[in-house]
Amino acid sequence: MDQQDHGQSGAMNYGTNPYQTNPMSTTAATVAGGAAQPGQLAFHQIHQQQQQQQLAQQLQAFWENQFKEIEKTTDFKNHSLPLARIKKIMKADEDVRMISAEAPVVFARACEMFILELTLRSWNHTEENKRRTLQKNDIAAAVTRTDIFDFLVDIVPREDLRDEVLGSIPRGTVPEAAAAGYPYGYLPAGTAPIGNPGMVMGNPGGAYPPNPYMGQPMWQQQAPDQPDQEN
Amino acid sequence: MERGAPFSHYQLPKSISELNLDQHSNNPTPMTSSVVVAGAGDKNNGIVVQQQPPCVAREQDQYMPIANVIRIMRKTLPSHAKISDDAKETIQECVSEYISFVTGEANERCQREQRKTITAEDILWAMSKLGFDNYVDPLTVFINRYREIETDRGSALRGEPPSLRQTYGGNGIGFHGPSHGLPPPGPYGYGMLDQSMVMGGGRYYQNGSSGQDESSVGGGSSSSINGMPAFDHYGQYK
Repeated sequence: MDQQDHGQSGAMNYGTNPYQTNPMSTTAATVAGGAAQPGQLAFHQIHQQQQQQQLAQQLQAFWENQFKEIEKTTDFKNHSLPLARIKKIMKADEDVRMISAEAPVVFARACEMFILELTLRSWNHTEENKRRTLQKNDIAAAVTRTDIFDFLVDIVPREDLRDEVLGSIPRGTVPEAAAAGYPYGYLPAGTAPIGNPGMVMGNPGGAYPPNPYMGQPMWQQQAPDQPDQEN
Repeated sequence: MERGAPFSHYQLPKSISELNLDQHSNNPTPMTSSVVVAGAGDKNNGIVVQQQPPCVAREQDQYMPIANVIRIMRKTLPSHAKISDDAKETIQECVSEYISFVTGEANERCQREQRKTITAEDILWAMSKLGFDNYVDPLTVFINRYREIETDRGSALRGEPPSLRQTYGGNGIGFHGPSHGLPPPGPYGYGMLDQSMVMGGGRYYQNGSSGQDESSVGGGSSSSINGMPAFDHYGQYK
Protein backbone atom coordinates (compact mmCIF):
# COMPACT_ATOMS: atom_id res chain seq x y z
CA MET A 1 0.00 0.00 0.00
CA ASP A 2 2.69 2.42 0.99
CA GLN A 3 4.82 1.41 -1.96
CA GLN A 4 1.97 2.05 -4.34
CA ASP A 5 1.39 5.46 -2.85
CA HIS A 6 5.01 6.48 -3.25
CA GLY A 7 5.17 4.93 -6.68
CA GLN A 8 2.58 7.43 -7.74
CA SER A 9 4.34 10.29 -6.04
CA GLY A 10 7.81 9.83 -7.44
CA ALA A 11 10.58 7.35 -8.04
CA MET A 12 12.89 8.88 -5.46
CA ASN A 13 10.68 8.10 -2.49
CA TYR A 14 11.76 5.59 0.10
CA GLY A 15 9.77 3.43 2.46
CA THR A 16 8.26 5.40 5.31
CA ASN A 17 8.97 4.63 8.91
CA PRO A 18 5.41 4.02 10.18
CA TYR A 19 4.90 0.97 7.99
CA GLN A 20 8.26 -0.50 8.84
CA THR A 21 7.46 -0.02 12.49
CA ASN A 22 4.70 -2.62 12.37
CA PRO A 23 7.01 -5.67 12.08
CA MET A 24 9.07 -4.33 14.96
CA SER A 25 5.92 -3.88 16.97
CA THR A 26 4.92 -7.48 16.43
CA THR A 27 8.38 -8.70 17.32
CA ALA A 28 8.42 -6.63 20.48
CA ALA A 29 5.01 -7.89 21.48
CA THR A 30 6.15 -11.47 20.98
CA VAL A 31 9.22 -10.95 23.11
CA ALA A 32 7.25 -9.17 25.80
CA GLY A 33 4.91 -12.15 25.79
CA GLY A 34 7.68 -14.30 27.14
CA ALA A 35 8.11 -12.03 30.12
CA ALA A 36 4.61 -10.86 31.01
CA GLN A 37 1.42 -12.55 32.07
CA PRO A 38 -0.41 -14.03 29.06
CA GLY A 39 -3.82 -12.50 29.74
CA GLN A 40 -2.50 -9.04 30.45
CA LEU A 41 -0.20 -9.21 27.47
CA ALA A 42 -2.93 -10.23 25.06
CA PHE A 43 -4.89 -7.13 25.92
CA HIS A 44 -1.87 -4.86 25.53
CA GLN A 45 -0.89 -6.53 22.31
CA ILE A 46 -4.29 -6.14 20.71
CA HIS A 47 -4.62 -2.54 21.82
CA GLN A 48 -1.11 -1.74 20.65
CA GLN A 49 -1.63 -3.29 17.24
CA GLN A 50 -4.89 -1.45 16.76
CA GLN A 51 -3.20 1.79 17.74
CA GLN A 52 -0.35 1.23 15.32
CA GLN A 53 -2.68 0.40 12.46
CA GLN A 54 -4.72 3.48 13.23
CA LEU A 55 -1.59 5.63 13.18
CA ALA A 56 -0.43 4.16 9.87
CA GLN A 57 -3.80 4.88 8.30
CA GLN A 58 -3.88 8.39 9.72
CA LEU A 59 -0.42 9.15 8.37
CA GLN A 60 -1.30 7.87 4.92
CA ALA A 61 -4.45 9.98 4.89
CA PHE A 62 -2.41 12.91 6.16
CA TRP A 63 0.07 12.84 3.27
CA GLU A 64 -2.64 12.34 0.68
CA ASN A 65 -4.46 15.28 2.18
CA GLN A 66 -1.34 17.42 1.97
CA PHE A 67 -1.23 17.03 -1.80
CA LYS A 68 -4.92 17.89 -2.08
CA GLU A 69 -4.61 20.94 0.12
CA ILE A 70 -1.61 22.24 -1.79
CA GLU A 71 -3.33 21.74 -5.12
CA LYS A 72 -6.29 23.71 -3.83
CA THR A 73 -4.14 26.48 -2.42
CA THR A 74 -4.75 29.76 -4.21
CA ASP A 75 -3.61 32.20 -1.56
CA PHE A 76 0.19 32.07 -1.25
CA LYS A 77 0.42 35.31 0.68
CA ASN A 78 -1.04 34.04 3.93
CA HIS A 79 1.44 31.75 5.60
CA SER A 80 0.71 29.78 8.75
CA LEU A 81 4.00 30.97 10.18
CA PRO A 82 5.70 34.36 9.93
CA LEU A 83 8.43 34.42 7.30
CA ALA A 84 10.52 36.95 9.19
CA ARG A 85 10.71 34.65 12.20
CA ILE A 86 11.71 31.71 10.02
CA LYS A 87 14.42 33.78 8.42
CA LYS A 88 15.70 34.87 11.81
CA ILE A 89 15.96 31.28 12.98
CA MET A 90 17.75 30.31 9.77
CA LYS A 91 20.18 33.17 10.31
CA ALA A 92 20.89 32.10 13.88
CA ASP A 93 23.52 29.89 12.28
CA GLU A 94 26.43 32.26 11.66
CA ASP A 95 27.58 30.21 8.68
CA VAL A 96 24.36 31.02 6.85
CA ARG A 97 24.98 34.02 4.63
CA MET A 98 22.16 34.77 2.24
CA ILE A 99 18.69 33.30 1.94
CA SER A 100 16.56 33.42 -1.19
CA ALA A 101 13.06 34.81 -0.86
CA GLU A 102 11.50 31.42 -1.53
CA ALA A 103 13.35 29.52 1.18
CA PRO A 104 11.27 30.85 4.10
CA VAL A 105 8.13 30.28 2.01
CA VAL A 106 9.01 26.61 1.61
CA PHE A 107 9.87 26.37 5.30
CA ALA A 108 6.54 27.89 6.33
CA ARG A 109 4.74 25.04 4.63
CA ALA A 110 7.29 22.43 5.69
CA CYS A 111 7.04 23.45 9.34
CA GLU A 112 3.28 23.19 9.19
CA MET A 113 3.65 19.63 7.91
CA PHE A 114 6.25 18.93 10.58
CA ILE A 115 4.01 20.19 13.38
CA LEU A 116 1.08 18.18 12.05
CA GLU A 117 3.08 14.95 11.76
CA LEU A 118 4.71 15.30 15.16
CA THR A 119 1.38 16.15 16.78
CA LEU A 120 -0.35 13.22 15.09
CA ARG A 121 2.31 10.77 16.26
CA SER A 122 2.31 12.27 19.75
CA TRP A 123 -1.46 12.06 20.04
CA ASN A 124 -1.24 8.39 19.10
CA HIS A 125 0.72 7.85 22.30
CA THR A 126 -1.78 9.91 24.28
CA GLU A 127 -4.57 7.63 23.12
CA GLU A 128 -2.53 4.53 23.91
CA ASN A 129 -2.52 5.66 27.51
CA LYS A 130 -6.21 6.53 27.40
CA ARG A 131 -5.61 10.20 28.12
CA ARG A 132 -7.09 13.27 26.47
CA THR A 133 -4.29 15.72 27.22
CA LEU A 134 -1.26 15.76 24.96
CA GLN A 135 1.78 15.85 27.23
CA LYS A 136 5.50 16.29 26.85
CA ASN A 137 6.16 12.59 27.28
CA ASP A 138 3.84 11.90 24.34
CA ILE A 139 6.15 14.01 22.20
CA ALA A 140 9.11 12.16 23.66
CA ALA A 141 7.50 8.87 22.68
CA ALA A 142 6.89 10.08 19.13
CA VAL A 143 10.51 11.20 18.88
CA THR A 144 11.90 7.88 20.06
CA ARG A 145 9.66 5.93 17.71
CA THR A 146 10.45 7.91 14.55
CA ASP A 147 13.90 7.81 12.98
CA ILE A 148 13.64 11.11 11.16
CA PHE A 149 13.01 12.79 14.52
CA ASP A 150 16.34 11.65 15.98
CA PHE A 151 17.64 15.19 15.82
CA LEU A 152 15.07 16.13 18.46
CA VAL A 153 16.36 13.85 21.22
CA ASP A 154 18.16 16.78 22.83
CA ILE A 155 14.96 18.81 22.89
CA VAL A 156 13.03 16.26 24.92
CA PRO A 157 14.28 15.94 28.50
CA ARG A 158 15.66 12.58 29.54
CA GLU A 159 13.17 12.39 32.36
CA ASP A 160 10.35 12.18 29.86
CA LEU A 161 12.29 9.66 27.82
CA ARG A 162 12.96 7.60 30.90
CA ASP A 163 9.29 7.64 31.80
CA GLU A 164 8.51 6.47 28.29
CA VAL A 165 11.02 3.64 28.43
CA LEU A 166 10.15 2.44 31.92
CA GLY A 167 6.47 3.09 31.48
CA SER A 168 6.33 0.94 28.39
CA ILE A 169 7.62 -2.08 30.28
CA PRO A 170 4.85 -3.91 32.16
CA ARG A 171 5.29 -3.65 35.91
CA GLY A 172 6.85 -6.68 37.52
CA THR A 173 8.76 -7.56 34.39
CA VAL A 174 12.01 -5.89 35.40
CA PRO A 175 11.71 -4.65 38.98
CA GLU A 176 15.44 -5.10 39.43
CA ALA A 177 16.15 -2.56 36.70
CA ALA A 178 14.14 0.15 38.40
CA ALA A 179 15.45 -0.71 41.85
CA ALA A 180 19.06 -1.00 40.80
CA GLY A 181 18.98 2.35 39.06
CA TYR A 182 20.63 1.15 35.90
CA PRO A 183 22.18 3.87 33.71
CA TYR A 184 19.81 5.61 31.34
CA GLY A 185 19.06 3.56 28.28
CA TYR A 186 20.59 0.42 29.71
CA LEU A 187 18.48 -2.72 29.56
CA PRO A 188 19.21 -5.56 32.00
CA ALA A 189 20.41 -8.89 30.66
CA GLY A 190 16.98 -10.35 31.28
CA THR A 191 15.58 -8.14 28.54
CA ALA A 192 17.66 -9.06 25.54
CA PRO A 193 18.03 -6.35 22.90
CA ILE A 194 16.54 -7.26 19.57
CA GLY A 195 17.83 -6.43 16.14
CA ASN A 196 15.46 -4.17 14.24
CA PRO A 197 15.84 -4.84 10.52
CA GLY A 198 12.45 -3.29 9.93
CA MET A 199 13.66 -0.01 11.36
CA VAL A 200 16.35 0.46 8.74
CA MET A 201 15.79 3.64 6.78
CA GLY A 202 15.66 3.13 3.03
CA ASN A 203 18.08 5.88 2.16
CA PRO A 204 20.93 4.22 0.23
CA GLY A 205 21.62 7.24 -1.93
CA GLY A 206 22.91 9.55 0.78
CA ALA A 207 24.86 8.97 3.95
CA TYR A 208 22.69 9.46 6.97
CA PRO A 209 24.03 12.40 8.95
CA PRO A 210 26.05 11.39 12.00
CA ASN A 211 23.92 11.51 15.12
CA PRO A 212 25.66 13.86 17.57
CA TYR A 213 23.92 12.16 20.42
CA MET A 214 25.60 8.85 19.59
CA GLY A 215 22.47 7.25 20.88
CA GLN A 216 21.25 5.38 17.82
CA PRO A 217 22.14 1.91 19.17
CA MET A 218 20.35 2.68 22.42
CA TRP A 219 17.23 3.72 20.56
CA GLN A 220 17.25 0.51 18.61
CA GLN A 221 17.65 -1.43 21.83
CA GLN A 222 14.81 0.42 23.45
CA ALA A 223 12.53 0.29 20.45
CA PRO A 224 11.15 -3.22 21.17
CA ASP A 225 9.78 -2.03 24.50
CA GLN A 226 7.97 1.00 23.18
CA PRO A 227 4.79 -0.73 22.01
CA ASP A 228 3.93 -2.03 25.47
CA GLN A 229 1.21 -0.11 27.16
CA GLU A 230 1.90 1.86 30.31
CA ASN A 231 0.47 0.43 33.53
CA MET B 1 6.74 46.35 -19.63
CA GLU B 2 9.93 45.81 -17.70
CA ARG B 3 9.08 48.76 -15.50
CA GLY B 4 5.59 47.45 -14.91
CA ALA B 5 6.87 44.13 -13.62
CA PRO B 6 8.87 45.54 -10.70
CA PHE B 7 5.89 47.54 -9.48
CA SER B 8 3.59 44.55 -9.53
CA HIS B 9 6.17 42.50 -7.65
CA TYR B 10 6.90 45.31 -5.27
CA GLN B 11 3.29 45.31 -4.16
CA LEU B 12 3.22 41.60 -3.39
CA PRO B 13 5.84 41.62 -0.64
CA LYS B 14 4.28 44.70 0.90
CA SER B 15 0.93 42.99 0.85
CA ILE B 16 2.47 39.93 2.43
CA SER B 17 3.89 42.03 5.22
CA GLU B 18 0.53 43.60 5.90
CA LEU B 19 -1.20 40.25 5.83
CA ASN B 20 1.40 38.81 8.14
CA LEU B 21 0.72 41.62 10.57
CA ASP B 22 -3.01 41.06 10.37
CA GLN B 23 -2.72 37.32 10.59
CA HIS B 24 -0.38 37.40 13.55
CA SER B 25 -1.88 40.33 15.40
CA ASN B 26 -0.98 38.73 18.69
CA ASN B 27 2.65 38.61 17.60
CA PRO B 28 3.17 41.75 15.52
CA THR B 29 6.25 42.32 13.40
CA PRO B 30 6.48 46.12 13.60
CA MET B 31 8.53 48.25 11.24
CA THR B 32 9.63 51.02 13.59
CA SER B 33 11.85 50.77 16.62
CA SER B 34 9.28 52.28 18.96
CA VAL B 35 6.69 49.78 17.81
CA VAL B 36 9.28 47.06 18.18
CA VAL B 37 9.48 47.90 21.85
CA ALA B 38 5.71 47.80 22.13
CA GLY B 39 5.61 44.49 20.32
CA ALA B 40 8.27 43.11 22.60
CA GLY B 41 6.15 44.30 25.49
CA ASP B 42 3.20 42.35 24.20
CA LYS B 43 5.33 39.27 23.81
CA ASN B 44 6.76 39.73 27.27
CA ASN B 45 3.30 40.01 28.75
CA GLY B 46 2.29 36.77 27.10
CA ILE B 47 5.53 35.02 27.88
CA VAL B 48 5.85 36.04 31.52
CA VAL B 49 2.76 34.04 32.34
CA GLN B 50 4.32 30.89 30.92
CA GLN B 51 8.08 31.20 31.35
CA GLN B 52 10.53 33.05 33.55
CA PRO B 53 13.91 33.00 31.79
CA PRO B 54 15.87 36.29 32.04
CA CYS B 55 16.20 37.08 28.32
CA VAL B 56 12.57 36.34 27.56
CA ALA B 57 12.07 38.52 24.50
CA ARG B 58 15.25 37.37 22.80
CA GLU B 59 14.52 33.74 23.51
CA GLN B 60 11.01 33.95 22.12
CA ASP B 61 12.36 35.40 18.89
CA GLN B 62 13.98 32.03 18.35
CA TYR B 63 10.63 30.23 18.33
CA MET B 64 7.55 30.28 16.19
CA PRO B 65 4.63 32.18 17.74
CA ILE B 66 2.91 29.77 20.08
CA ALA B 67 -0.58 30.76 18.89
CA ASN B 68 0.31 29.74 15.35
CA VAL B 69 1.79 26.48 16.56
CA ILE B 70 -1.30 25.63 18.61
CA ARG B 71 -3.61 26.45 15.72
CA ILE B 72 -1.72 24.06 13.47
CA MET B 73 -1.63 21.34 16.13
CA ARG B 74 -5.39 21.52 16.58
CA LYS B 75 -5.89 20.83 12.87
CA THR B 76 -4.89 17.21 13.42
CA LEU B 77 -6.29 16.69 16.91
CA PRO B 78 -9.84 15.73 17.85
CA SER B 79 -11.98 18.50 19.28
CA HIS B 80 -11.90 17.05 22.79
CA ALA B 81 -8.09 16.96 22.87
CA LYS B 82 -6.23 19.15 25.31
CA ILE B 83 -2.60 20.23 25.04
CA SER B 84 -0.47 20.77 28.12
CA ASP B 85 1.60 23.93 28.33
CA ASP B 86 4.86 22.04 28.38
CA ALA B 87 3.81 20.17 25.24
CA LYS B 88 3.12 23.47 23.47
CA GLU B 89 6.54 24.79 24.40
CA THR B 90 8.21 21.54 23.40
CA ILE B 91 6.66 21.69 19.93
CA GLN B 92 7.86 25.29 19.62
CA GLU B 93 11.40 24.17 20.38
CA CYS B 94 11.11 21.21 18.00
CA VAL B 95 10.09 23.48 15.12
CA SER B 96 13.06 25.79 15.62
CA GLU B 97 15.35 22.79 15.86
CA TYR B 98 13.86 21.44 12.62
CA ILE B 99 14.52 24.71 10.80
CA SER B 100 18.10 24.85 12.09
CA PHE B 101 18.67 21.18 11.28
CA VAL B 102 17.51 21.44 7.67
CA THR B 103 19.12 24.85 7.16
CA GLY B 104 22.46 23.53 8.38
CA GLU B 105 22.37 20.70 5.86
CA ALA B 106 21.29 23.02 3.04
CA ASN B 107 24.03 25.49 3.90
CA GLU B 108 26.70 22.80 3.82
CA ARG B 109 25.70 21.99 0.27
CA CYS B 110 25.82 25.66 -0.68
CA GLN B 111 29.33 25.96 0.70
CA ARG B 112 30.49 22.83 -1.09
CA GLU B 113 29.25 24.31 -4.34
CA GLN B 114 30.68 27.71 -3.43
CA ARG B 115 27.33 29.46 -3.48
CA LYS B 116 26.26 32.12 -1.02
CA THR B 117 22.48 31.98 -1.19
CA ILE B 118 20.37 29.17 0.22
CA THR B 119 17.58 28.44 -2.26
CA ALA B 120 14.30 26.59 -2.07
CA GLU B 121 15.94 23.73 -3.94
CA ASP B 122 18.67 23.51 -1.32
CA ILE B 123 16.01 23.23 1.38
CA LEU B 124 14.19 20.46 -0.47
CA TRP B 125 17.45 18.64 -1.14
CA ALA B 126 18.39 18.81 2.53
CA MET B 127 15.01 17.44 3.60
CA SER B 128 15.39 14.51 1.26
CA LYS B 129 18.89 13.82 2.55
CA LEU B 130 17.74 13.97 6.16
CA GLY B 131 14.96 11.46 5.60
CA PHE B 132 11.98 13.78 5.19
CA ASP B 133 11.08 12.20 1.88
CA ASN B 134 7.36 12.57 2.41
CA TYR B 135 7.76 16.33 2.57
CA VAL B 136 9.62 16.82 -0.70
CA ASP B 137 6.88 15.99 -3.21
CA PRO B 138 4.12 18.12 -1.66
CA LEU B 139 6.56 20.98 -1.19
CA THR B 140 7.73 20.69 -4.79
CA VAL B 141 4.15 21.07 -5.97
CA PHE B 142 3.72 23.92 -3.51
CA ILE B 143 6.75 25.92 -4.60
CA ASN B 144 5.94 25.40 -8.28
CA ARG B 145 2.45 26.78 -7.83
CA TYR B 146 3.87 29.62 -5.75
CA ARG B 147 6.19 30.53 -8.59
CA GLU B 148 3.40 30.40 -11.14
CA ILE B 149 1.53 33.00 -9.14
CA GLU B 150 4.59 35.07 -8.39
CA THR B 151 5.37 35.32 -12.10
CA ASP B 152 2.30 35.69 -14.30
CA ARG B 153 4.21 34.48 -17.33
CA GLY B 154 5.02 31.28 -15.49
CA SER B 155 1.39 30.21 -15.61
CA ALA B 156 1.20 30.91 -19.32
CA LEU B 157 4.46 29.25 -20.23
CA ARG B 158 4.13 25.91 -18.47
CA GLY B 159 1.60 23.68 -16.77
CA GLU B 160 2.00 22.08 -13.37
CA PRO B 161 3.07 18.51 -14.26
CA PRO B 162 5.84 19.54 -16.67
CA SER B 163 6.94 22.11 -14.12
CA LEU B 164 7.11 19.46 -11.43
CA ARG B 165 9.34 17.23 -13.49
CA GLN B 166 11.32 20.17 -14.74
CA THR B 167 12.05 21.02 -11.14
CA TYR B 168 13.64 17.65 -10.54
CA GLY B 169 15.66 18.08 -13.71
CA GLY B 170 16.43 21.58 -12.57
CA ASN B 171 17.81 20.21 -9.35
CA GLY B 172 20.15 18.00 -11.34
CA ILE B 173 21.19 20.82 -13.60
CA GLY B 174 21.47 23.22 -10.71
CA PHE B 175 24.07 21.01 -9.10
CA HIS B 176 26.54 21.85 -11.86
CA GLY B 177 25.28 25.09 -13.34
CA PRO B 178 26.54 27.47 -10.64
CA SER B 179 29.96 25.87 -10.47
CA HIS B 180 30.41 26.29 -14.21
CA GLY B 181 29.06 29.81 -14.14
CA LEU B 182 27.00 29.28 -17.27
CA PRO B 183 24.73 32.25 -17.95
CA PRO B 184 21.15 31.40 -18.96
CA PRO B 185 19.85 32.43 -22.39
CA GLY B 186 18.58 35.99 -22.55
CA PRO B 187 17.31 36.94 -26.01
CA TYR B 188 13.92 35.16 -25.77
CA GLY B 189 10.85 35.56 -23.59
CA TYR B 190 12.46 32.98 -21.36
CA GLY B 191 15.07 35.60 -20.62
CA MET B 192 12.35 38.10 -19.84
CA LEU B 193 10.87 35.64 -17.36
CA ASP B 194 14.30 35.27 -15.85
CA GLN B 195 14.64 38.99 -15.39
CA SER B 196 11.21 39.17 -13.88
CA MET B 197 12.08 36.47 -11.38
CA VAL B 198 15.32 38.17 -10.45
CA MET B 199 13.64 41.51 -9.91
CA GLY B 200 10.76 39.94 -8.04
CA GLY B 201 13.12 38.08 -5.76
CA GLY B 202 15.20 41.16 -5.13
CA ARG B 203 12.16 43.26 -4.35
CA TYR B 204 10.77 40.72 -1.98
CA TYR B 205 14.04 40.33 -0.17
CA GLN B 206 14.48 44.07 0.14
CA ASN B 207 11.01 44.50 1.50
CA GLY B 208 11.57 41.70 3.96
CA SER B 209 14.70 43.44 5.18
CA SER B 210 13.00 46.79 5.53
CA GLY B 211 10.45 45.06 7.71
CA GLN B 212 13.09 44.93 10.43
CA ASP B 213 14.56 48.34 11.18
CA GLU B 214 17.21 46.92 13.45
CA SER B 215 18.94 45.39 10.43
CA SER B 216 17.94 47.87 7.75
CA VAL B 217 21.51 48.76 6.81
CA GLY B 218 22.67 45.17 6.60
CA GLY B 219 19.47 44.25 4.83
CA GLY B 220 20.03 46.95 2.26
CA SER B 221 23.55 45.77 1.67
CA SER B 222 22.41 42.19 1.31
CA SER B 223 19.69 43.29 -1.05
CA SER B 224 22.11 45.05 -3.36
CA ILE B 225 24.36 42.01 -3.44
CA ASN B 226 21.38 39.72 -3.72
CA GLY B 227 20.79 40.68 -7.34
CA MET B 228 23.41 38.24 -8.51
CA PRO B 229 22.51 35.37 -6.15
CA ALA B 230 18.88 35.69 -7.16
CA PHE B 231 20.06 35.36 -10.72
CA ASP B 232 21.93 32.17 -9.85
CA HIS B 233 18.90 30.96 -7.96
CA TYR B 234 16.73 31.17 -11.03
CA GLY B 235 19.40 29.48 -13.13
CA GLN B 236 19.18 26.48 -10.84
CA TYR B 237 15.47 26.28 -11.35
CA LYS B 238 15.88 25.69 -15.08
